Amino acid sequence: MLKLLKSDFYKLSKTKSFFICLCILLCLAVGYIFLSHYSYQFVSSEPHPGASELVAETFSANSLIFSSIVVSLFVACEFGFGTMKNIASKGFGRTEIYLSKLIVSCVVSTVFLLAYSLASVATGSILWGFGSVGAGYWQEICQIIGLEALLNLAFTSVFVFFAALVRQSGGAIAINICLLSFASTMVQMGQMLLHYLFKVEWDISQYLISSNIVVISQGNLNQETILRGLLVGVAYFVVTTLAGVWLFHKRDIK
Amino acid sequence: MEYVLRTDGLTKLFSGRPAVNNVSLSVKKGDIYGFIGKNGAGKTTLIRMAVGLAAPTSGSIELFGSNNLKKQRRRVGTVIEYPAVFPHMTARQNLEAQCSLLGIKDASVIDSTLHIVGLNPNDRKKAKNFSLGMKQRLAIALSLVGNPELLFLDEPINGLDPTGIKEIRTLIQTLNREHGITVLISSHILGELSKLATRYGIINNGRLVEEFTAEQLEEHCQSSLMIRVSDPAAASSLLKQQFGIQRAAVNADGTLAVYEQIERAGAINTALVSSGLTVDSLHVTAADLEEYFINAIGGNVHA
Repeated sequence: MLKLLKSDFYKLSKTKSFFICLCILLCLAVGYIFLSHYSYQFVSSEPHPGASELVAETFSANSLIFSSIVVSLFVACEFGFGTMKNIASKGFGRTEIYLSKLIVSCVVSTVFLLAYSLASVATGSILWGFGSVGAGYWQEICQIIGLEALLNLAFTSVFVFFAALVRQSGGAIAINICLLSFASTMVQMGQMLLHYLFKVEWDISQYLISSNIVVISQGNLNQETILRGLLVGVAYFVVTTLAGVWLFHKRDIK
Repeated sequence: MEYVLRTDGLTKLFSGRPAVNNVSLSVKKGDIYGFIGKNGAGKTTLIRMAVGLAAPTSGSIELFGSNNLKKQRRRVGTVIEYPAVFPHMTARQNLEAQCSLLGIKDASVIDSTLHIVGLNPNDRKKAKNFSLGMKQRLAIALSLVGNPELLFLDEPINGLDPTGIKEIRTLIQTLNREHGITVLISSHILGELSKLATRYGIINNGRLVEEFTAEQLEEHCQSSLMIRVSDPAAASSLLKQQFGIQRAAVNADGTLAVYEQIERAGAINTALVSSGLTVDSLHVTAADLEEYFINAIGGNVHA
């Protein structure tokens, strides 16, 4: 397993899309803060309260689209290039191979998440200072970061699952971006349809990863929010990992 | 005799249709095993099962005399269909990725492996800019990492020009003779295989039709006297009586093939004509692997 990870990290270090997406992400993070700065100056004469106000917000889904692209490319390209044959024919187990891809993908998405947040907070601190924080601030921030990171990993597991399912980089990117962008809309439409047809009120959207990311990033966490975030994150991660491993075992490698 | 690969009743079904059907073959250590078949005969499917890329529907596989395939596959190298390389990496970087996969820390392995296949270890060209022949050699280099004792090469010369084909042939012979690597090479380009293989297996519609050695092939493909005569059976009896010729066969097209005393073609012709038979044509011919293969999958009629 360690050898697989070492090889996958080596391949990641040679993957241009990782570095390109990281650069774009950092530029976006910095650019967004400057945009916020000028917007704030336009609407308010008061000084900005400080970067501490936006720490939680920076851990929302901003980096996920880049994660979806890099993870889709990283996983699906092994099938497209045929190099998955070089790995699987050397006696490595299918579970090991899948988990190695998953672990490296999780590292990618965590790096993107942290990079975006650090760049935003650093830029904000330079422009406005960090600002004062009250008691319990850091505890809440740690909870938010932990939950957002878990939900980020859950989404990553979904990306890896679809990339391994589709085995084509273009198709994997398309599916993962669509999931990211439209899943909550489609679920809400489904809820409306259920209500219209069967008069059923069922808020499925609260069990989506993206909904939980948004709710948690707004802060003011309560027990219910924390528990739901934890359960949703763990459930999606475990289910998609198990499904991905099973599927990878079942299918021949061409 | 040590066998590096043995299959017993190996079968693979796709939607109930057999792609590989009850194949039992064996590859001996040191062989260059030529695996021959038409497109879609089942060659690639069998190789994919042997190296773990596809699960057999039934049957068994033994590598190096062991059923512990996960462990034994570390001793195997594979190039299946197209060259599987990372196009955005150089040859060296491709090998570095493979070395880290196999836990090989000695950097000199990369230089020596690239030298064996005739690639420049210091070339900074990315693999996407390689010619097909170079990609094929890089793919073989990747399969050589870890010092495999058995190489599966699936259609390695497809798409190559004559120079490229010769280079790959020379490489395979070097790997077999100088490095002691057993090679199973599948192809439908029979002329090339006949220059390489020491043993052959013919597969058709998923079934192993025949296995034979290069010596047996030479014996079967030897020169013969092809006679188009009015009564082949009578001619065969006559030749047996007058010349003691035992090895003669009537082909499906009605010609009589005589495998002995070919140098006495004139005397044979005279004897046949004198006995009242009409000889329409008589000529010396030699079969090759292609004809042997076509006959093997198409059938033949013997006297």
